[in-house]
Parts: sequence; structure tokens; C-alpha cells
Amino acid sequence: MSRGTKRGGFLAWLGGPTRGASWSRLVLSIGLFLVAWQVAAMYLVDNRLLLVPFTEVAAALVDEIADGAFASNLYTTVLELAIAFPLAVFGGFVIGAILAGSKPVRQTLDPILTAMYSLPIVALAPLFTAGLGFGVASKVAIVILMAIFPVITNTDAGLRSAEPALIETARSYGASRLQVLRTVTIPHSVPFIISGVRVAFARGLVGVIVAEFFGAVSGVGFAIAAAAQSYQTARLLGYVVVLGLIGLLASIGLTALERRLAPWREES
Amino acid sequence: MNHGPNEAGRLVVDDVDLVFTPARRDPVVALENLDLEVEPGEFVCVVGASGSGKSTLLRLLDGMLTPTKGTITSGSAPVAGPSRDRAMVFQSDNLLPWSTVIDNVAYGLTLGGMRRSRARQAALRQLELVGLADSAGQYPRELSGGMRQRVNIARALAVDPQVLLLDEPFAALDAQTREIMSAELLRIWSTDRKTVVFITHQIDEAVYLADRVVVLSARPGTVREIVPVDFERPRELSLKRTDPFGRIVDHIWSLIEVEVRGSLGLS
Repeated sequence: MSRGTKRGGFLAWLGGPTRGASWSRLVLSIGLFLVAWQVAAMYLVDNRLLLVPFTEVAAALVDEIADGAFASNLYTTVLELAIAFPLAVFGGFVIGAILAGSKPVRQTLDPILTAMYSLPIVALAPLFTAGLGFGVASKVAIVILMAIFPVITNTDAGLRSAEPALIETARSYGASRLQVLRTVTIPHSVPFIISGVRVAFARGLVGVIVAEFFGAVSGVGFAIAAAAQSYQTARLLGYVVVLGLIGLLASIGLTALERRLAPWREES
Repeated sequence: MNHGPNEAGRLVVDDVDLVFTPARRDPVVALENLDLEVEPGEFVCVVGASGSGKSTLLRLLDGMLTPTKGTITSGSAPVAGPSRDRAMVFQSDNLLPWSTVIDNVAYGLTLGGMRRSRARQAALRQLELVGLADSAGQYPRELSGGMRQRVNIARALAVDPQVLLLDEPFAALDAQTREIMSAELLRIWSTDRKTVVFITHQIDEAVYLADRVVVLSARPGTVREIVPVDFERPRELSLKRTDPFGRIVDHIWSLIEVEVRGSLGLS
């Protein structure tokens, strides 16, 4: 790195490993995006139904916050995710572990799981709203169905892909089956599971918003649908920005979690 | 053999056959009528052409495989599965990527139920012995191949086994590293002289290390000849460039050459 700091100055520092640099990169990329947005809205896109400047979106968001609507919508969506997502992760882990542990079960369920994973489950959203009502329950159901499959698949793959040589070594040191699981198979599967959780969160977020489109009394998706029906582009985009921030926060959180649970994978 | 009280570390292979029976294919006789005795504290190398069952023999000694016929005795008890009395070192270092160097060395001890803090103390002593105490907190990924293999050996020694079983431990290393590593192994071994069975392709490596070199013949594997190596210890690496050393290497090569040529379809 000394080479870089001598010659490259700021750019080299920005590409460096420090915490300050990593936050600076984040701020810089968001800043550049907002500038591009502002320029596009002011000079490139005339259609105000499609795009309005970021400054107007920010103003609409401030109004929404002052009104109290923002907090209640955000609360609903976060609550739905907070109930459904841990259930999906836990359930996906358990089912994935069962699949990894039993070949007949895995082979029997595989076609169904593959079909369900590739199915656009949001297509079921109207059904769930009709069956479970406009409240939290229908959203929780959709989010679980959206999020559980990547966790199942990755847990199964992670638990089954530990190197046979490592397992043989463990056994040669007298490890019991449980010890092999605890010291080899599970640590090996951690990065797989975390990347499954990453995909699961993205899918869960889609699920909760689409489910709220189809029938809700509150929530970010509900607010977006309402704004769209009254052609309030600025308000709509304000909520979309918030969704982007939620995704970003989740990603940062998962990266931190991975660093904690799988420190051996960090770049030196 | 006088079977005195100091039986720990003695290995006896008595008339052993090992037949693999793969599903829907013909059985393969890997080893046949194999007899071998290894004295406590002895360093024995096993050489032989590919397919002579060297690795199979080692897995039998460890207990990962069970003989089809005959018995294997370690110390005073028959071998019935892996045991911490016998530690195995493979060609690939097989370190746990998610554990630090010291926790890798402590691995066998913690599996045996030792408290982590105590196991780490014992592991540190082994790391000092192999000269890697400074790397205790690093992950295996951060070490070179030779360093990782030394950690692997330290891990095997940490469980304080009576027998050390090594399956071509230096085969993945470059030639120079390999030379130094075999000298290192002798230095480490000389500190407490455990029984060692060392599998290798490299005849000069075997002669340099061993008290006796066991030459296996291929298909089915059985003992072709046991060649004693009487050079004094400690041995310098320069021993390898002496005439007596060369004569033993040549002799062993002549025993194996026919089979290697045969396996290549040459005559």
C-alpha cells in the first residue's frame, strides 16, 4: 500500500482498506448518483410523471415525515419483515439441513423445491390478500415464501460441500459425527448460508412491497400504490429511495455479520 | 520379538489382506499376505510403485480401513478404528481454513475434550518446536505450503501420539522446500522419537529418513523387501550425495523399476 499512498494520493487512499475510505466511497457513490438524478430530471427527462428532481423528492419525503404518515408506513413494512424474515431464515436453515442430511428426502423434494424457487411467488399475492386479509398476516406469508427458498438451497449446498479430506482428517483425530458437524461441516457452510440470506432479503423486500400493492391499509408498498394512483411522482420516488436505503443497510449489516461469523475469508 | 512392558508404539501387521469390493465391479486385491513389524521409536519408510497399496497400508494402520483378513496390533491392543494413539498426516495439509494456526494445532486435543485454554498452551509448545510460534494467530490461508505442512505436523504431534503416520506429506512442496522439510522432520522426530511410518514416492527421501525402508510390490501389494539403512544419526542433508547412500537408492530403485515400467506399458 505504501506504493499507492506515495503516488496515487487521494485515489489510492480511497481504494484502500481503511474504514474512513470505505465510508467515503459510500458517500461518494450516493452523492454521484443524486447529482446524476438531479441533472437527468432537470435537463433530460421532461415527463414529470416519470421523473422529478431529487430535491422535490426530498421535500415530499420531509412533508410525509412531518405528516406522520411516513413513520406509520415504515413501521408496518419493517414489522412485517421483522416477523417474516427471521422465520424464513430459520425455517430455510432447518429444511436445508434436513435435505442435506437425507438423500431420499432431498431427491424426493427437489423437483417441487426447484419449481417453487423459480415460481414468481408474488403472483400469489392477491390470493393471500383475499385469504388472509389486508393486515400483516398476508404479507408475512408472502415474505416467507419468497425468502425461504434461497436459504434452503444454500444451506443444503453448504452443508454438503465440505471437503471430504477435511472430514477424513477430523475422523482420523477421533471426531464423532457431531464433532465433524460442529468443527467442519457447519463452519464450511456459513458463507453459503449468509449469501443465501442476502438473496432471501432482496426477495423478501420485493415480496412485502408487492403484497402491500394488492391490498393493505398501511406500509411502504401501500404508500407507493396510493401515490401512483394520485400521480404524486415525488412522493412515490421518496418511498422508493427509502427502499433503496433499507436494502443498503441490510447489505452492510450482512457484510458485518459475515465478517464476524466467517473472519477467515477476509482479504488480507 | 520380546514383548516387554514397553509395547507402546509397536505396530504389528500380521498376514493382512485388504480387498476392495466396489459395487457392480470386480473386487480389487489391494494388499495380500502382508507382514510387517515396526519397533517402538523406529522410523520406517514405505516405498513402491503407484498401486502398490502404500496409502491403503497407512489407512489400515490408522484404523480408517479394516483388514479383510489378518490382524493389526498397535501397542498391545488390536486396531479397531482411528485413535488418538496414532496421528495421521496427509499430503494435503487439510488445515481447517476457519481456525487460526494455534486452534488448528489444538484441534485434536479439543476433540478429545481438553479445555481450549489448556489445549492452546500445548499447541503453542508444538508450534515452537516446528518454529511457527509467531504465526499462531494467523489463518492457514496466510501461510506458505511448507509452513502449512509444518502446522499439520505440529497438529499431529500435539495429541502426543505413540505412532505418527505420514502419507507423502511433502509431495505437494517444491524440491528445495521438501529437502529442508525432511531435515526438519528428523530434527523434530529426534526430540522424542515416536514411531513413524512414512509413505513416499521419493526413494532418496525414504533412505535419508528411515531406519528401514519397506519396498512394496504392486497388484497385489505385498512386502517385496525390507532394506535396512544404518547411517548414523543425526544425518546431514549432504549424506544424500555420498556413495553408500546412492547404492541403497539404486538397489531400491531396481526393485521398483520393473513395476513402474510395467504400469507404463514399457518392458
